[in-house]
Amino acid sequence: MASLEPIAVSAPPGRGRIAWRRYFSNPLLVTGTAIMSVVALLALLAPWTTSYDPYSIETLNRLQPPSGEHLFGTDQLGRDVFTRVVYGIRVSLLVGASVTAIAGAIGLLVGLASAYSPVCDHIFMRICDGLYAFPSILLAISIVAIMGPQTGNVILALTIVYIPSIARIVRSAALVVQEKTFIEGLRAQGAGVFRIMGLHMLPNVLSPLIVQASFVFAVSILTEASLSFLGAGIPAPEPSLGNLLLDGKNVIFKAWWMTVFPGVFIILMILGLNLLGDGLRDFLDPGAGSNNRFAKRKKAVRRRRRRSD
Amino acid sequence: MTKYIVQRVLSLVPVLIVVAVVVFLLIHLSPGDPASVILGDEASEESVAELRSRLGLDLPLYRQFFVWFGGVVTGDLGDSIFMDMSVTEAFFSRLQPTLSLAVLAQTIAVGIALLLGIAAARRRGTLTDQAVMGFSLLGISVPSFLLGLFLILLFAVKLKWLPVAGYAPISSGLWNHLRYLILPAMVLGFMQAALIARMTRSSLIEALGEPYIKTARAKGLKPGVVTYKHALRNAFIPILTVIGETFGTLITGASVVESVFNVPGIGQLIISSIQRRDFAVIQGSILLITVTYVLLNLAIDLVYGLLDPRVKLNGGRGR
Amino acid sequence: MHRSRWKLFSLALGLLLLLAACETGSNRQQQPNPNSESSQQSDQPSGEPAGGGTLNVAYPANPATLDPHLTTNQATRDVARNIYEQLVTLNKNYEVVPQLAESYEISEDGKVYTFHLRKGVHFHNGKEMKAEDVVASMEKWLSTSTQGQANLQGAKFLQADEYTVQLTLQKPSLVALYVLADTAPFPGIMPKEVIESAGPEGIKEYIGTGPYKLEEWKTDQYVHLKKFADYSAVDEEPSGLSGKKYAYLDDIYFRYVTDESTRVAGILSGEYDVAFGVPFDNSDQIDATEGVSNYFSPGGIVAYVFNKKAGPFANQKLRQAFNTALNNEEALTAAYSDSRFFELDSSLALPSQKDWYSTAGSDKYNLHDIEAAKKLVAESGYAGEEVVILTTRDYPEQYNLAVVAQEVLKSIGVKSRLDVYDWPTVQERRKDENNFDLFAVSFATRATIHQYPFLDSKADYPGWTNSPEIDRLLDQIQASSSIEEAKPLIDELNRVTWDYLPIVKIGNIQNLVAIRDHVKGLDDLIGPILWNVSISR
Repeated sequence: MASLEPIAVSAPPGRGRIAWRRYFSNPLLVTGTAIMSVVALLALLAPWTTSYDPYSIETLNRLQPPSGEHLFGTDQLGRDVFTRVVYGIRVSLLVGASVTAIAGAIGLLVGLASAYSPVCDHIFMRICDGLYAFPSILLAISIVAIMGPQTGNVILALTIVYIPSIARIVRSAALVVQEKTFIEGLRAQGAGVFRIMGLHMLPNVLSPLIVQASFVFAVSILTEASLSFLGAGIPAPEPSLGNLLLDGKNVIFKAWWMTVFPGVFIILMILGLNLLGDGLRDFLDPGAGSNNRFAKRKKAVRRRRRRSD
Repeated sequence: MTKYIVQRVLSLVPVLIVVAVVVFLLIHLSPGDPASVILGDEASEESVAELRSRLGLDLPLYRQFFVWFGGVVTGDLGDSIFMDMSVTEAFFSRLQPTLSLAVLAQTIAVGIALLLGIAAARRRGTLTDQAVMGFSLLGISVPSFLLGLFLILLFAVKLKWLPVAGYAPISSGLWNHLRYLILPAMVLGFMQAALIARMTRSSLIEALGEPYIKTARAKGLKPGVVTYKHALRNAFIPILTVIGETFGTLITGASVVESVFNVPGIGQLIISSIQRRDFAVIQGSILLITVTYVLLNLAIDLVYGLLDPRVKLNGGRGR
Repeated sequence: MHRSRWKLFSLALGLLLLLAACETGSNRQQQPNPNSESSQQSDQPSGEPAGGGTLNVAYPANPATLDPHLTTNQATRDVARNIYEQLVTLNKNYEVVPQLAESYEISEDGKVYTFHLRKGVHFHNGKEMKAEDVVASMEKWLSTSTQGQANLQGAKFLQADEYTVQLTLQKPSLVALYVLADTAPFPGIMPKEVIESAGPEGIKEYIGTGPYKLEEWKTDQYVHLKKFADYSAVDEEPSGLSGKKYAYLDDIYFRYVTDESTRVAGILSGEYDVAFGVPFDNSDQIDATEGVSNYFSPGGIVAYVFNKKAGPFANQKLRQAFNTALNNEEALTAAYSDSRFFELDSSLALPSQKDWYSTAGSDKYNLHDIEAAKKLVAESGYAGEEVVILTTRDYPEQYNLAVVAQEVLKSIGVKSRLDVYDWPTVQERRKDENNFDLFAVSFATRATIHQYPFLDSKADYPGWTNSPEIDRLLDQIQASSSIEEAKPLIDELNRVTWDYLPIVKIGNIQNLVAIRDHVKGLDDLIGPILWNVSISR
């Protein structure tokens, strides 16, 4: 990896091909995308990958072990577990993607604003501290309780929970750029806020943002499962993977297939997303810019202190 | 330095006010009330209404808020409706299990993580590295309650080495105390280890790439000395951040694991207080947690300064 | 400089550890090891139950209070019945028999009940139980309990002499004694002083005359009951809640384990001696495990409750359509696993409640006729409104029944949606008639039909039954001079109920309890009876 240093910064002609070559030389990224593509495809093609209805019940057929007819067996109401897993992946992906997109966008704005203006920094970071300290599961439960058990409200709750983590990462990455002489130079030249933020700070925070976003994606899928486990997640009978696990937990001593298959798919999805995140970091940030990371952190800390002293 | 601490502590005040208002509104706007919980499923509406008024729940919301907040300002978080004690007492009686669990989990996590992280960083790109990364990926990919159930099935039901669930305080003997906490601590520790190991590996790799390490190597220092004395020391700040932050989540966010293993900690207190709508306890506990968390963050920032001489030299009180 | 800070840091750490160590040293004996099974066993041969020992009970829900007067919650009832006793109670045939009363008489006009108290019965605090305590307790119960308010309006308790208490009713009532023998909220007798110092959430001290006294209550963890050495038992054969209470065990721990799978794991591993609220699908696993068995106890009735005040089910025809389409066996299988755990039965009372049992109206039960149901939907003038089914995942059976209801409605072309909340939210939301149309719930067995909340229009129970005919029949039954005289009215009530459909009774259900084989003598009557349980080896 270290040998790939001086590329992709300004080499327009061969860029595409080199990017492809770099992509395929990155096993994490390749595995991650492979897993996620398969999982996503399975979910998107749900109506065609299975002939069962995820909702219709058949109690005489309940808790059947896996067989040719029911690949993953049936659940406590006689519904086909494979079908529910496939539809469940859809729901989990929808939740994860929405949370990531919304929290990512808001977190980016908040982070950049905090890095740019000390006033914003004080306000936003104190709010973030508060939100961070607030137990996320409780926050989500309360929001869902007040607004009603709807998928949208679960997404809203998780978004609020994950904005601070993105904002913090963006802020600290942006602070580093902020310290660079060329920004000071730009400022001296009278460049506008948006120009500095958009053209110079944004590209530099993009890679930590994407890495953090992939983490948020994975964690929001996990948190949705925990919420459902506590009975405050996606409203049943919609088959989110969390709901399936809750169904399975009640019969774990009898129907292992109801826990194992949704469990495996949750693990697989999160594994895929994390691989993707790691891979993307190497891909977007060749050589990891490692030489000055530490210096950045040191400066960030110093800066924080200076402001408060 | 003192000024800095004072300032940080003062900045807690607005955070707490925000949290107090948000918590109060969230709880009082959500449906369900303790009177129905006490009286049971088949109680008549009249008796529920009567109990509500005796509990002061029929007052207008703003008055309830000021009654409560007035108490908070003078250090009185109110009394639990369901437990015969004040909120503060309830909170601190549940703090010990949570702290014990967090400390044990974090010890397990840090032990595993440093070992694995350092091994992976030193042998970057080898099979060891890949195995460690695989482990840590798995660690952050497994839902905690799944892992918990699995461990219960294996160690408690099949092998009968450890109890299924429950808790015994330290006063019943250290081993008895630990026995109950090992499984939940393993679950939490496994997840934390994954995060810490990743951070250890990556920051150590970064540190090992620094010019001064190259210099040290060129000077002929032993690789071990270079890794442990120079690189690790410098890589320690981000690792410490992760340890601090994950410790925070252990205290505030172990509710799922606490509920699977029936550990009577803070998480379980809040979850069961939500379930029975014990308003004062929910509000008070969250405020106390917020304070704990913010103070913990302050402590981490201070330790930064202690660990990194350069920060101190540049940004110390001399300026 | 920073070296000294390191020292400070490690000093602080050391202090913390020291603190923890100090804690270890102090009061070592306070907490018994919850994992150890029965401690002191006597080596008596089998036959006569061995005395002593500790029973570890895994129980699914925390009691919100231990005041038996306040709540219909089973978690309170199951603990409190060991601590408190009533004037009268139920035997195994659901008949009323004296308990703290030695005997009672009813006046000619049926309005005055005279209770003669047993002498020499002591409370856990050593005080003897006298008429003043009974009057204070009964008055408190009358004013706080739903049952007292609904079925004994205007009743008054007075002290006649030190050991005699009189109850005066406004009008004679066939059900009065049954209500006094009610199981939740039950009129447990407690010392007058405790009642006088009660706060808004109920009493602060838990002192009764029962065979076990409250030793310690750690919310969310356990209730520790200890054998009451001065307990004075009735000298009659144990039957249901009545008769002699032996109190073989020294200690009973109700351990609150809310997670089902943890409860099951705990009984399988031997950590608990008895586990309540075991999910039905675990019965095979329990059977297959050595040393553990299944124990069944009647769990009352389960029903769909309609909102009759607003929304589509205010229309009787649509209620009938739902009932006609319902396959009760399928619904019960979905919720209660297999036929060992339920019984198809249309009566409002259980078959064992001979006085109240009636199969009238059973021709409208378990019809499963989709075509006829669709016709009823058409007749009802249903215009495509969405039916809201309110449910919770806190009780998997309720949830599964809700899903079944949704499928039933789909099959007859009625639109519906599930609103899933946590249990307190469900309780709150269903107070408003605009929030729901249907919910599934189980009702603990009651000694009389009158004590169920879903029949009387005065009861104000969610669903708001409002049938003058049902009200009239309830009043006539209550005014009857004997149960024989009331029989035809009870039949009529069942018939009218199946026509008006305030609820759809789905069936009778069993509770599944898992029990270690060394636990003997567990009994059940509207909840577990633990005072004659012993541990053998």
